[in-house]
Amino acid sequence: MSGSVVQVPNRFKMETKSVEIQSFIDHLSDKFDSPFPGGFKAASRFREHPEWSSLQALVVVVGFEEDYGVPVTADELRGSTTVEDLYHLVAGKLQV
Amino acid sequence: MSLFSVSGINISAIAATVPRQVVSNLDLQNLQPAEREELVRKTGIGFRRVAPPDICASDLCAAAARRILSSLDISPTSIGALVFVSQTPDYLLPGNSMLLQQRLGLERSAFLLDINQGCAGYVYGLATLAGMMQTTGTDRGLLLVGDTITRLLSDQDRSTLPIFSDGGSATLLERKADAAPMYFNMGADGGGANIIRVEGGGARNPFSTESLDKKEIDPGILRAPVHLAMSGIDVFNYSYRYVAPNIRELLESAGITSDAPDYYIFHQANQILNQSLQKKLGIPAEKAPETLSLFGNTSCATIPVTLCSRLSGELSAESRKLLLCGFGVGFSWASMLTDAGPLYCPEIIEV
Repeated sequence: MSGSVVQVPNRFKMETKSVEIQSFIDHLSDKFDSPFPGGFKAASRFREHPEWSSLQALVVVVGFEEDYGVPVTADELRGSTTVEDLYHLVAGKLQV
Repeated sequence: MSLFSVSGINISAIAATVPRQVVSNLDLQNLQPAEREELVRKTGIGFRRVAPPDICASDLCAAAARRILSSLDISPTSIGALVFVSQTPDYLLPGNSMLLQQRLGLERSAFLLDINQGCAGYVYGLATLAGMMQTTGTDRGLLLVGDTITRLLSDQDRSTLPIFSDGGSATLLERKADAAPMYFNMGADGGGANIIRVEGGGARNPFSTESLDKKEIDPGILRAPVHLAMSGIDVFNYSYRYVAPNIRELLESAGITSDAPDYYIFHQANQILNQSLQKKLGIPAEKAPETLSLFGNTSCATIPVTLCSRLSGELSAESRKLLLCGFGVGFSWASMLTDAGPLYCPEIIEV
């Protein structure tokens, strides 16, 4: 678990929606066929996953929509580097 | 959204054509074997059809039209209107409809129209031709929809090359007093015009030597301005946002529930996107036949390709309540609901 390395709240809550960072990491990991070397942590650079490609990016974005009801654009994904960035992106949209 | 119905126009025949040349995604260059297998598993696209240089969309559609006219013993001079939908016409000008009038032998008085449309193009073409026939009293119209979209691809772009394929079609519409109504729901969001685009070669960025210069856009993606660029993520976002509400609104306007259609024939984009849409709409897999595995994404031709490939026997014998839905370039989307059949619907024709 990597929650201790990030300087962010580890939970965002809404009346009906919430996402914890470990749950988010678990969901993200499920979108890949194989684990990130050493396991995904908040600081992991997700593009360094051996499976990363434009197709895998689509799989991840579809997962954000289906799991959290959050659309993430190609530009937003391009602006993200770490798993933590993705977490902020999705959690921030859940709060809107 | 544009919601309307057309009455008194019957779908009498649908024929679809593909080039003979089969390309397997398991043979893709510049990918490791494991990557190829992953790509096929996730996109659902095993094989694609690629037209040789001497076959254009016009040829694929002409072959489909000739099959219909000859099989039903219909004189081309009885065709009062011809609409051609394509993004890969033979020439910048004149349009394909003029070329096909001459090649098929239509009268000079025939109404001819070219529509620049992509993956929603089959439904846009049906709406245009059926609506025109209803209002003008035209007895017979021919809708030709096809693309050789592989001509626009960079062979070093792994985001488009494994997806797209070539195909054509012809659909015969005829006036018939007791024809089932056609319900349409059309939409577009020009804010998404850049998510599927060919930047170079048009009037905005005229063709020059730079038009052919490939640049690395992302790892594994090299393309030039004349090549098709697509953001698969944004295509998904637009589709997910607009398609399901469009279909629900169409069903509601026709006064039926989502379980009423026998089949939902979706544009065949890729398996990830199509399955997500079907899940959102709660449509069982058996009601949404796919042809991605064998024919890939044939652009505007995916709907007639799927009808002829998967429903040829049923539609030839009986009536089916069909919901057709296309979405893509523009960003645009369109759906259509009707009872079709029995009609002339041969299996896929190879050209």
